[in-house]
Amino acid sequence: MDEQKRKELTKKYLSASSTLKEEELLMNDPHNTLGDWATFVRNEKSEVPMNLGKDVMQAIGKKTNSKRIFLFRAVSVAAAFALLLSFLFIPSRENEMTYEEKVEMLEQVLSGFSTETNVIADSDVIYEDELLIVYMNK
Amino acid sequence: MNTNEFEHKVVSLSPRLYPMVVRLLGNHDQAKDAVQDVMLKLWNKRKQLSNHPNINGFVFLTAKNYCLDLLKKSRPSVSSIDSSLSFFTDSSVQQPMEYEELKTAIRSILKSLPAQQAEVLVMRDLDGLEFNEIAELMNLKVEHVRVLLSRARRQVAKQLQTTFSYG
Repeated sequence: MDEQKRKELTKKYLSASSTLKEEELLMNDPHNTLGDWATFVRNEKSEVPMNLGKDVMQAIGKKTNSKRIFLFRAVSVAAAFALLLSFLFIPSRENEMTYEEKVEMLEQVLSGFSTETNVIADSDVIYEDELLIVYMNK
Repeated sequence: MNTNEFEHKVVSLSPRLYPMVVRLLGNHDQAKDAVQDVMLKLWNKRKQLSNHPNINGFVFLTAKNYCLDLLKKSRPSVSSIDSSLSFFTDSSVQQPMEYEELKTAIRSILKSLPAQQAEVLVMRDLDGLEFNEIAELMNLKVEHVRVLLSRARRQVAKQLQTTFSYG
């Protein structure tokens, strides 16, 4: 840096009208007129770790991923719970008889009663569904 | 603000944030973690951040407040002004006696300056912050920051000249 430029930058520096780049240039100039202050500034400037920005993005990625994983797990648990409840509360139709089976069974039962006696007239209904009525003698 | 914008506008400031954070916390490992924590905080606020008129200033302010909170938790007796004026000292590195003397002298010169002047000087010359970033951090106008900085630099020059070989 020539003398004229150095003077000009020093003047700008002292009047706080220099840019960061100009100030860096001045601080690193071995013949600068800032002396001990420049030595101090150069020594106290911290070295920035390599890939700091990259590490920060990775940390953000991890954090958002862990949130997503947590959400996914929570939804999975809720779904499993809902499925379990559906098994408990919705009755299985596996053992239910078909209409034809019910008719057949009814006929079997009826065949055991006498058709001549009017049982119905003297009885109370104790059970009734679409196919079957159970009477009890009074 | 999406991930790319956040990375471009906010995370890219991490290396510039680092000197201030390490100076305030006085520890490289803690500073790195603090920068990450600050960025995570800002990530959670990214929706509000996109409308901010001075994103850089807001990022620096968030980092400064975060560091001061950490310091308050670990050392409740330290005032925010003391913390703001601290400069990083790595005790593991043995420095020449002469330099230690210089540091002591500069520390006392900074303490003799009005607090705002000293803070502006440290933020500009050690942390490498732009004027608008300092203005946001200190809640001042850029013109006022320039005036404070100019006064501080002239005062330091004058005092160092009488003590050492400045100028």
